[in-house]
Amino acid sequence: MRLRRYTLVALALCTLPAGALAQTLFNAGGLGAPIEPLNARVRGVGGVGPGMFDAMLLPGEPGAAIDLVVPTITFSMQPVWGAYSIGDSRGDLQATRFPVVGLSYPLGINSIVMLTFGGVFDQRWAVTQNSEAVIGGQNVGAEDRFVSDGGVSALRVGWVQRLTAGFGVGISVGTYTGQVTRTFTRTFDTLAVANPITDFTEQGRWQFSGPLATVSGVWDPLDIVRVAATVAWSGDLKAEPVGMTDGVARKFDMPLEVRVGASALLSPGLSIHAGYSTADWSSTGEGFEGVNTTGKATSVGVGIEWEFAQFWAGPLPLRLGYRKTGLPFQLDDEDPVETVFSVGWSFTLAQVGTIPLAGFDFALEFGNRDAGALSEDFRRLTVTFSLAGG
Amino acid sequence: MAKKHKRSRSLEDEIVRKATNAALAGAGAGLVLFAGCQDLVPTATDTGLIPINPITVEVLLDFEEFVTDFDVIGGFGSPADLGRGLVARGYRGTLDARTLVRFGNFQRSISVEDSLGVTRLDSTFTALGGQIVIVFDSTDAAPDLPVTLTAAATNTPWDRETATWDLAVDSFGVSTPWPIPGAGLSTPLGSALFDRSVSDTVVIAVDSATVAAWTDSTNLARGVMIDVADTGARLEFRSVSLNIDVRPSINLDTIVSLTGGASERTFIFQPSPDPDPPGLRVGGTPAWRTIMTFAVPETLTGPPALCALVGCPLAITAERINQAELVLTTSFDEPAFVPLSTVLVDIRSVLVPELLPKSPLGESMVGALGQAVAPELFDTETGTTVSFPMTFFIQDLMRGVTRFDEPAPTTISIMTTFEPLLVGFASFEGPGGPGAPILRLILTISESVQIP
Repeated sequence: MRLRRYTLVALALCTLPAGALAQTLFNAGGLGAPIEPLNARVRGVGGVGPGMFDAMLLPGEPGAAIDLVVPTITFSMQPVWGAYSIGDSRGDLQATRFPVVGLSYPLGINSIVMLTFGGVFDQRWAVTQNSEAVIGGQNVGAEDRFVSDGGVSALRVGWVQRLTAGFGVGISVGTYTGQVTRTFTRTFDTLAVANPITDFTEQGRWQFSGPLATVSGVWDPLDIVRVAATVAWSGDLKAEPVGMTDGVARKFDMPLEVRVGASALLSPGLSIHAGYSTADWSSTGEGFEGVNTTGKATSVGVGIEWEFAQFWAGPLPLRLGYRKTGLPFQLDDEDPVETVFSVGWSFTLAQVGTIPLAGFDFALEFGNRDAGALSEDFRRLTVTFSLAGG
Repeated sequence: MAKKHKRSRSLEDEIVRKATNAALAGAGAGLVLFAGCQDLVPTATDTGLIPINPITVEVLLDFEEFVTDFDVIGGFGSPADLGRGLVARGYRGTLDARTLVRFGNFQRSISVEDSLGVTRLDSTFTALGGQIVIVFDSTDAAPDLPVTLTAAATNTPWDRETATWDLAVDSFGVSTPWPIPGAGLSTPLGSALFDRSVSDTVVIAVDSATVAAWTDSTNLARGVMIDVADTGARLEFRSVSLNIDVRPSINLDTIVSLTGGASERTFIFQPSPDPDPPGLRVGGTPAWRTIMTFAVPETLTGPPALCALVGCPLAITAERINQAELVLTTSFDEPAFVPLSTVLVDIRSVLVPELLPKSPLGESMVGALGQAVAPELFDTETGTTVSFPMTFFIQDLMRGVTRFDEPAPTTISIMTTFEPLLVGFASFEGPGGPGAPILRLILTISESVQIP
């Protein structure tokens, strides 16, 4: 090697205005922000999943479908608007996702089978950082952009069986699915130089897989009370590199999650609901490099529902709720917490007897998330459409 | 029973109808909601969320580090292909040049009114004489003072494509020297003064016998040699034409002027540039090309400053190369052949080096119009560095294959966009000196992106 002369100039990275894109920047922590696959009815009363009086299709909650006596399909969409701040920097957030898709079919009058697809982790986020480099004695601008696009979802098949008039059990099994593509791009300001400088790109893509299973129990000790519980088990979440990805494969030990919920009818048309869930993410953190988990993450919610009028083809309920959720992955070495106040209502398009055939449920949540220097205020609208019939 | 069945059917129909209506309403509402959703790109200061820290460095490789073979070859095109004329006498103390022109495309008949006012075709007209009209490119003229141009009829058969200062014909084994080098022993026709401050055109009168001789297309010795009489002068001209005055056989009181264009034109000059230049040579007439064969090292083991920053050995991969430039330093080679206008330099890969100088070439690395280099960089501002982009070539070289999965070429040709483009050529410093060619690389080094 006859290397006689080099000129070496490192990029002097000066922090200049930068940008971010996401439904929440908390997606940047660990495996991302959890996507709770809850529909608008559950969100309206601050629930965590099990224990609602109404029959519904929820991914990972086979017991919730115990009263779906007609074939049903449902999906939810969820636009979010908000603003974030990191230190002195502020910006807006806006994005849309589709967290719940489900299909159920009754087998006789006491059994229902179902197929659901729901989100688990949202890993869509992007951030940019502007820099300035000195190359060959010239100032050359550069923009660094990191984009994470994708997420983890779960595909499940389930079955629920009413064993007695007041008790039923449900199970579901499934697999994690989904992909994430993480791309870093450094773009140079070609206006400052005579000849163009091509972008530098470093990219990796991973495919997710792993088994999961759920067991639910639904118990109506009285006609006006329902109690339900769900235990969700998960095998390792595997992330396998795809194609030319240089990055390594990873395995994450996913926690056992327990969810309980209860509803009580206080008077005709007026009910209360409460829910609680917990999962210990400590062992999941062992699969990470440079990311800490929050340990035991819990979620607590309460709410009321009041059917105060009839409108169109069915009742017009109003729901109010509150929920506080601990997120599993730390940001800025602090445990993120999401606090939400919600209001919800339903609009029944068609109903035969007491069986709703089609309708919209709405939930509008006003919330905030905080961890260290990062803070977000957001408004999250969930719209669930259900269609039933034979 | 029948009534019950009918009621059941009615209930089913109602369910289906309501469900259908509801589905349509739901789908419509969903579309409206979905149409209203869009992502927003916010701005903020550093979030500290970018999980990797790439480093961008500039590396300069010396000539010996990236070139394994180097050659300058000439002879592409001929003065006849330039489409311009050149005359010079002792320009910058050395250059003599003369232009040879052969006229053609004369009209064989003319339309003339007879005494009755009827237009008739006349092919037996008589040539009375003519004028050679020369239009100069006055911006390339030297000196500023008026100069005298001379015209002489050639008497030796000459070939437009192969004529040189010494040879009138040098083609297919036939080599015929001029009686005197420089198209000597021509018959003087006349002279005229060219003053570029007055006009860009010069007219030299020609007698009828010469004109008549020039209309004989079988005479390969026909033609005119244009020269300049003043020492130190150099002029290029854009066009030469011959105006012929003829008298019709029908109406003898009428004079008709015809124009004949130059059907063949070339120029001859001496001395020729040194065929073994000290550095790189690009362009000229006939054109020169510089050929380089590359072998960029796959890894770097120094210098210490580089290793301290990014670690060594440092692999140079296609993915890490953001920019590659060939940096050349302009030089002053042959004074008489310094370009007088902008040189459009092109760089192309040599696809089959074994076939040089006839090898097919790849696509341009610098764009279809070439990279413009100002003429003063080869005269009063020599020593200036000029950078030529070759990012994709070096990326392919390091990858071993092109973007089209073909073996990557390793050899380049530095040339002008058109050959020939100018009489003068571009000169750059060669290997071994302080201005030797350099390969400049901008590299970005990063760890691979990982899942958290």
